[in-house]
Amino acid sequence: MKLKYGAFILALFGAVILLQKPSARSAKKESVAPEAAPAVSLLQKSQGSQNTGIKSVVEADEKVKSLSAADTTVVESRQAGAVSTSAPAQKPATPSQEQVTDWAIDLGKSMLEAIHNPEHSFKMFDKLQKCVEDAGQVEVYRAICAANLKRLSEKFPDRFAQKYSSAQLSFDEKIRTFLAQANTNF
Amino acid sequence: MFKASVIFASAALCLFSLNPAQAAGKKANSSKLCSTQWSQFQTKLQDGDNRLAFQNPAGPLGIGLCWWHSRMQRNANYLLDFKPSEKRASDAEVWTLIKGLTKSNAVQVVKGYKNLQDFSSVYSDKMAETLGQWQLAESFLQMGFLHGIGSNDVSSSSLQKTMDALYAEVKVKKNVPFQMLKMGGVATHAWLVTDMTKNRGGGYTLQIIDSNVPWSLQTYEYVPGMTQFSYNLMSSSNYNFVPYTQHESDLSSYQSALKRYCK
Repeated sequence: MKLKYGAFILALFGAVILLQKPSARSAKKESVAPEAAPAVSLLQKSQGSQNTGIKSVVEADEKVKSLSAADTTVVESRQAGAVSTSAPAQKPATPSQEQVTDWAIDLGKSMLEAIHNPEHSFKMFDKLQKCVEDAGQVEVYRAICAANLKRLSEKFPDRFAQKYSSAQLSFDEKIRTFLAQANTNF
Repeated sequence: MFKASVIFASAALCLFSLNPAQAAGKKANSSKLCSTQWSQFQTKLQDGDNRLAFQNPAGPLGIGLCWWHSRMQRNANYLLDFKPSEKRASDAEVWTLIKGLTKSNAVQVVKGYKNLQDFSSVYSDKMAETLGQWQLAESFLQMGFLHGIGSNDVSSSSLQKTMDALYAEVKVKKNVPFQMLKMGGVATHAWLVTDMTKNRGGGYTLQIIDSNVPWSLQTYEYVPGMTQFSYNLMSSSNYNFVPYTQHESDLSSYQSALKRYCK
């Protein structure tokens, strides 16, 4: 009888713990998410946002969605900095390598279209240039944009060579070094 | 003590010879991929039908994509399940699939194509673009990484140890190792090792897939006493380098992904 009673209490205690755990977990997540959220997930969130500031940055053009999303990240992170009174404006969170790769591959889809479609190449060049020149943008994204900008200018020198040389002026030292890599892999 | 080691080693070998579904103790998925024994992934890759239809492209930086070509090749070998009789995927689905080939953690189904050669000959431009963007993403984040990765000329005993370890990877664990080939400066190449044979006097013959010539298997002979490899990677001249096995964790990711998929 005592054993049965003890088992019942233990089971009840266990059930209470199980019921409490999920909420405790989600509460923990919520407290971590705003600071730790990677840039890419911030982009996704903001695309569905009603904030007009963000909306104005998000382009309707689906083909350049990934770049637009990158723009949005910057806006959102700046806004976060602006409303914060207790802490200084923070730099955008550093995305993981996998997130950067996914972002770059999505950009690659648009690049492939730009390479095959003259009209799209102009839009793409402008988007890439904006991305490179955006000082608030995460550095690795700016570097990837710069590499693709260079690629477009080499593919269509008549269209973009001149624009590219002026765009180059905004590249910082690390991006220049990155683009200057040559003969390293075979 | 010795007996215990032998038993342990035998048990490990037994585990490696099981297919992933059997290892998981569950009823196997009937797909061809799930009936592939772990050791058969080596022979699978030796068949040209299971290799990429295009060679290492120049890429956006114009410096070649050998690392990423080799990694995508290996990911595809372990993680693509071809269903030729099913309806082909849309372009958007194909992009998602190709993006997934930059990861080592999930099996993907390729509908309407019979093998990698077949699929990659149709989508070579999308795959090459993906390799290029993958390179950009990783190269910037790892800038300077190559400077400290190792020498292109080591002691003969060190290279012998490297080769002995590689032999265990290939012949005992039945893995397909990815090797970064460190040349002078920051120049590198990469290859996949699909087989190895032991030669007299402690040497080995390596069977490799070089992304520059993916349509054929290459061999390279290691002779004890060597301090570096000398191999004709491109066309005219030989390059000197030391091989370093990398991305080992991808192999356990493949095993986990196969176990999940082949339930």
